[in-house]
Amino acid sequence: MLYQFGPGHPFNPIRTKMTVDLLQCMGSLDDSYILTPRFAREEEILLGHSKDYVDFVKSIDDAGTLDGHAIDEELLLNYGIGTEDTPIFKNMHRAGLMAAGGTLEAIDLVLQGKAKHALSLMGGLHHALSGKGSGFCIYNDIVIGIKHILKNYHKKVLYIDTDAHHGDGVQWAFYDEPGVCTLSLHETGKYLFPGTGAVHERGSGAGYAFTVNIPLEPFTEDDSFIESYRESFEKVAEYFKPDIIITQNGADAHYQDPLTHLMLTMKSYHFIPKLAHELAHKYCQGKWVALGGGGYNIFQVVPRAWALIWLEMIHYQGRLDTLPRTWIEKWQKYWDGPIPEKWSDPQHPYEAIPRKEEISYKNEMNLKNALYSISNELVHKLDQRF
Amino acid sequence: MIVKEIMKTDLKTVLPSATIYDAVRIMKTHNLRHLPVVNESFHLLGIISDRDLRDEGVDVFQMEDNNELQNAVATVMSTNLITGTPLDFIEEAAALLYEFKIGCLPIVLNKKLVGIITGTDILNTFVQITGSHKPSSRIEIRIPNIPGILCPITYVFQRRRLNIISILLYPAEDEKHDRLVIRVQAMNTDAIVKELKEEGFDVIWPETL
Ligand SMILES: [Zn+2]
Ligand SMILES: [Zn+2]
Repeated sequence: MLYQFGPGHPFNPIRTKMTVDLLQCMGSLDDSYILTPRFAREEEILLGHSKDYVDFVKSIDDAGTLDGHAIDEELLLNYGIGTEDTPIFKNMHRAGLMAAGGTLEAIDLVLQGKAKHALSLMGGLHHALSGKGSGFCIYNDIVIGIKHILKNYHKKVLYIDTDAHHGDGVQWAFYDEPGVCTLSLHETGKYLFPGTGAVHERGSGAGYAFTVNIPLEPFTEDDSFIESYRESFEKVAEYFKPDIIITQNGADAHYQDPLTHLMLTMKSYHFIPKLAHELAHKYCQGKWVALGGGGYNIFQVVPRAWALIWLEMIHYQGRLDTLPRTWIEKWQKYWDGPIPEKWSDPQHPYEAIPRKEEISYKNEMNLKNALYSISNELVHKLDQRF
Repeated sequence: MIVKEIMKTDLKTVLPSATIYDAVRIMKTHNLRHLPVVNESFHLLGIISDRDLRDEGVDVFQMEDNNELQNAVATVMSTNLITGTPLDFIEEAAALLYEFKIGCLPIVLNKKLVGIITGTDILNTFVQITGSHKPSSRIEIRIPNIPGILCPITYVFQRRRLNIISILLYPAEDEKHDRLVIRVQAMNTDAIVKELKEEGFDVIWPETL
């Protein structure tokens, strides 16, 4: 648990612990399936980041503070470090190495045929840019992982991002790369960080039409989300015919998440890994790596949403009704709010959204617009290229 | 922002003696809707637009056996031109395009054509100004229309060491208020929004149900 910004910061590593514990409490996670992640090597980090940025992060790694360092504010701001979002903490370089190491190991397991599916919940840090930390992310393990695939396995990668925030760091890293297709569903950048992810961002050069963005209106609910996700994922998978699927499973689009304005319930978090699993078997002989990501309601939302990914991966057949009592009692000690008792959310958990119809309609139009270009462009391009 | 910063300087032009056929071909090849006509010293003499050509009855789809296309461009170009200078503000250029319902504004310095600016260029700039060119979150505040009101607001941002990426201020529905849109370089805006509210500002986005 090295990735720790400090008390009060919404990005909290307890999330992963709680998820693992939940699965163990219900007897669905055998110890033999848990691997200790390795640290990524520095040359692997450099696949996704500029040397000067990595050197800078390293230079503040030990101290964990700027005390005694003659680092000027401007430099910090330039590197996106030491900000309110991404404060400095001890071991921040090594924490980044570990998150990336977990993702690299998950990818290797799957591509070396040692496992069909792998899950690395510390990964999924989709905002970090080549020379800059951003949005709680220091190193972009996803970019590093995908570059690793391109370099060592030469496979076509479909990346799908259902975090409530646009997957900007990953999109820009592969914007002109036709071997990587990125699909991001997110709350529209008109309202939410980072501001990008409009329908018209479709890639450039050889990568044109291999970037797909489905922006969603604030207060989007399950039905509209599931429809957008299902339709776009199926269509993109069909045209791109990936060799491996990488999912970023940020769980911050839930109605109880404090940072965003999407209104999903557990119904969506049930469906998200289900479809990824189905399409991975349909197109990639099962090759599927799932990563974590955002998710800032750590007690009520994230453990349930992330446990469902694992349960989907092991083809869990049991009924999911109430959560294990032991688990609830254990974690209740750490929080004064109510920990949910059931896997699903209540029937009508929030007041009816007044603009529901307009919101769904707008999402539908965006979806159509986003897919229009891939249905024409991708077919044509793939015919030429592969 | 001034015209010089966004005007196109890689220009396609024709001499007045060129044929309409040549002009149309250049416009089609480079996907242009306007083509400036200049003399050897690059003095602007006129402009050919696809609209002018259509008005003249030039059918660009029947290029081959059409004698009219062999006429010089000087016979069809518009000569009564509205032009701008590189130092004009972009909003002035936009106002000219809007007022005279024209699609492009040739930019002239010392009689010489130095650039061209189109409605699309201006629209693009507007998209840049109002959009987010850096990862940032949007905060919208309804503020009273009184002197000095921005100061206490930006002070809150300074106190939290938050970098402001862009600011847009426009009139609200009533005269007594304005709407202020600030894009701030942060993903988590909880703390800043809380502080703004505590200081009594009417934050209308992020919206809570
Ligand atoms: Zn997120
Ligand atoms: Zn499977």
